[in-house]
Amino acid sequence: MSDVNPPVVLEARNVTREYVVPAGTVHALGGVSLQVRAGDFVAVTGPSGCGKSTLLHLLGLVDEPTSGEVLLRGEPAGNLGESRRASLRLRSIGFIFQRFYLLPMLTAEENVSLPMMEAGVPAAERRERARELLDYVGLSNRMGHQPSQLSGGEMQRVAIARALSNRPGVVLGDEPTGELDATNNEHVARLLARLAADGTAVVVVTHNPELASMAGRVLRLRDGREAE
Amino acid sequence: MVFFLAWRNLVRSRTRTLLLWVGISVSGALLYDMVMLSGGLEASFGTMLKQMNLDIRLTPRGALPFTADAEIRQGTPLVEEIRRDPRVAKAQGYYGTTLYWRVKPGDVPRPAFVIGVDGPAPEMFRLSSGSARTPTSPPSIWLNRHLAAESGARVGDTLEITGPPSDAVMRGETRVRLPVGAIGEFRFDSATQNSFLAPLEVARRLRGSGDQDPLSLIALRLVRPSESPSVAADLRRRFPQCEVYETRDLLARVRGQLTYFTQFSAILGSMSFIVAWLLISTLLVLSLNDRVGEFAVLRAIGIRPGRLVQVMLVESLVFVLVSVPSGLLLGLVTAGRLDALLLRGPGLPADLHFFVATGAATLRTVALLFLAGALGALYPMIRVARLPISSTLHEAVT
Repeated sequence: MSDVNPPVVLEARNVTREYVVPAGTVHALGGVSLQVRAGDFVAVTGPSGCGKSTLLHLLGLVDEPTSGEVLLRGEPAGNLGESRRASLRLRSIGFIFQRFYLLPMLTAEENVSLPMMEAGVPAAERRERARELLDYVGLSNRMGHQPSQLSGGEMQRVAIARALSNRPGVVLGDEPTGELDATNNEHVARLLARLAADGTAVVVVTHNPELASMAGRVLRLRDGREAE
Repeated sequence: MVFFLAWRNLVRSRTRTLLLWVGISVSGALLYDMVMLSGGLEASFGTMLKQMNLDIRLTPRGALPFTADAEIRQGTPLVEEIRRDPRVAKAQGYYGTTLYWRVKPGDVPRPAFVIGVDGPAPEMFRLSSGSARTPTSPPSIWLNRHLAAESGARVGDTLEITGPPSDAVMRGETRVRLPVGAIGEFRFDSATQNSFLAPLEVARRLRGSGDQDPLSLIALRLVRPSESPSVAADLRRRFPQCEVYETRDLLARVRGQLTYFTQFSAILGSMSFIVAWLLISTLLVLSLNDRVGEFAVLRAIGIRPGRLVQVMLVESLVFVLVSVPSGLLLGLVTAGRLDALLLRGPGLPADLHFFVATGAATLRTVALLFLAGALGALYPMIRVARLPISSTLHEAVT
């Protein structure tokens, strides 16, 4: 029984995030906790402005909590220096964005290879891994295509392959199906579920009830706090 | 990765890259022209002096060579005394004045600048036709090309040479007919100047100044040019009635007289540098504004800020790199045109150039352009390094 639970890869402990703006202080997130284990598929839902993306950015180490802790594989990571956090993002966290954000002047294969280049992976290995990943997302025949030559769904699948390039323990998605039609929506949702099934922790922020329904766990936020 | 991304970004925005290429090329050309102008006259004058292969020049006190009517009186014994110095390989006296020439009696005499010499003077005159060694034996005159063309004289023809129009001339007392021994060019002639080389004795006699033994210039070549400072110091002490110039002194005097050009080129050069910097900076900032979401994503997926700073810098430097050859080429073409235009000014030696493309000028221009590139990338680099990832991602989506 004791070894049934997979390890915790990412954890937020009572994190808050406040922004100081000219009009005053904005409490974007007020004391949210979340534990994500390898293979978990977590959906974060809630109305616009409830703090979903803020939580995701804290979990992804692109932002620092005002208070509370973010732990990556049990180690405090939320308040490390930018250089160290960049290194952790590169190797341990994969990001998927609503608008894909592939580099338009690179091919699908080159987009997938980019994080590996930064990580110093040798060229031959990069190529091999990029091909494997594009095959994994069903785009082995689109490796040489530039984003402008791909559909929205295909671009998001390339973005997923890019997120997986350095074999991260966790993939974070910010509205990954937000710009897709119904068919591609389902395709990407299934791909994310498959990722989780293969052992990668997946956390997605979404308004999409279909995607949320495929998640093993749903965290509902309202006004920066976990909804009852 | 840095070069890979920078290059792909340049290729990605072709119109912008093309505009920047044209802009940097044009401002680079102007910068190159101004750098050439700032040192061109001095470099050109230095080359002319070097080609004369002389180390020291003595002129009348307070005068530069051939710039005034001032004379060194009793010049021949002075030249003889200098020749006795074992450090001196050659000492030659020159008498510069104005005489008049005509092809045949009855023509109106016309003025020409004359240098009288008492031996060979290859340092002054480049022969293009004729085989004489010196205008003194047998006595002859050596015409510059302009005078040869204007008089229609060829080697072997004769011209009548007279002193200044006066009663004596009218009586024919200062008149001589001499054969043309050679045709060529004086080193410091302007394009439209009439000049000729004549025997020293003839030039003095026609001016009626033979008994004063005048010279305008005494030029020395030393056995060891490195001894120039010590020999010049000795000459200054021995002949206080003369100015003693080493080649570097002449260059310094010229440099002093070229302040106008130096300031002119510094002002226009600075402006073209600023234009290049502004151009690069503006287009990089615009490019960054277009790609700020992309940069935030790159930061989010773990690309280090330093790497993206390098991408901005390399993009800027690659802009400069691709623009340098065209900028230099355009600069050379416009410098040639401007040089020809400026040399139309009166009294300028035809061999002198305002714009000289020296290696140093080229290197300085390239260095300045790369500096403009680096400075132009500075603000975008700072912005990329300080880019707030989270808020930029929020703004990019909303």
